[in-house]
Amino acid sequence: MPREIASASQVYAPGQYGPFSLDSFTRDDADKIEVSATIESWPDVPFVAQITVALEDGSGFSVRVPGRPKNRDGTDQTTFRCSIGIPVERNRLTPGEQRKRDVRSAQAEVEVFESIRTALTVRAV
Amino acid sequence: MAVAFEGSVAAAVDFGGGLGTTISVSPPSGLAAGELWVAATYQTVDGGFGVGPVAVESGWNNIGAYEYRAGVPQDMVGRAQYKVAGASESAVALDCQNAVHYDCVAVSFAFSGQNATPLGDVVVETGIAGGNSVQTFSPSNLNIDNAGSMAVSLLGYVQTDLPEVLIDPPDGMTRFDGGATSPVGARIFGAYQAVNAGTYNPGNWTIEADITGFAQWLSGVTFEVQPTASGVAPRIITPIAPISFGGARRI
Repeated sequence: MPREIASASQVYAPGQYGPFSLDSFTRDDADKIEVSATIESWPDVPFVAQITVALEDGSGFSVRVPGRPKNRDGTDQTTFRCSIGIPVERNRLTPGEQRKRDVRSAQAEVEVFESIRTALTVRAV
Repeated sequence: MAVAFEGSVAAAVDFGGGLGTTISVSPPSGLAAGELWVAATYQTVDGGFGVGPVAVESGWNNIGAYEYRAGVPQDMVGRAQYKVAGASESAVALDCQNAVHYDCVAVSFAFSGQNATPLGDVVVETGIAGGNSVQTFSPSNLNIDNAGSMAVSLLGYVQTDLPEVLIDPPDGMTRFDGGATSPVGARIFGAYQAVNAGTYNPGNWTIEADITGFAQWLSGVTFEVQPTASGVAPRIITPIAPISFGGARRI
């Protein structure tokens, strides 16, 4: 499997997509798992999709994607991006040391509520 | 038997302007049945709209919550909660209320040697600071019942500009990191120290950056984990009203 899955711009009808699986990364060459989606005339509705990401160790998140996601300064986004960092741990076997957890795979799933055109990318960064 | 720290693991999510639903944080490596498992989350609420408190998950017990403060723009919410670990625990999905637009962090950590009534004194406090390159946050004193207890301090704050250059826990405490979104975003840190009976004054957290105007929203949960010991009486839990911004409430 790859460390990046990128699809060309296409229309996603309502439904479930994925899982998109990554495994060609390590804690030494990746800091986070990122999902991005280009915003191409999406409908102005509260939610167009829900993205769920799970890392190998169970860490993860779920986020609902608005039709008009905003940047922190209130301007419209052109690409929606969400991410989760590789977890940092203090292992009981090495109590003095804190480091990134040995996570080597992740999965993303996308549930689409409203038809949208987007180029979807899932990658280890 | 004294309480012992048994490891931690952190999670940090950037929701990117979406509406966060959950953040999942896994158990610390080697979590064993019977250990005390604590999970805490800290979330920014961009936009300044009010939200309810972060939920206590099914099968978990509340330690303390930092709740949204009306009239405080870009405030934070969060909660610390605990359970006694079962034989095979998996990640816990913590509530984000469909309300967190950007930053959400969580930390999970464990102790062994705790009493059947694991928590002693608990204090939740919030504050607003800013305008200086060095910020301090002083957790309230704990009333420790027994030798062999563990004092735990959780510090959450919002970083509004460049990354900090120094995070010092209170003197004598050992720090463990929670999640951090970067460079702007939420932070959560924890620290612990074995303590004896009596009044425990944790001292200050110190947060230093090479700019001014950072770390404007701060929250802390400080609590005592009681050791296995005979004659430890359950505490009477008496909530009192919050003492405005910067104040504390003892639970």
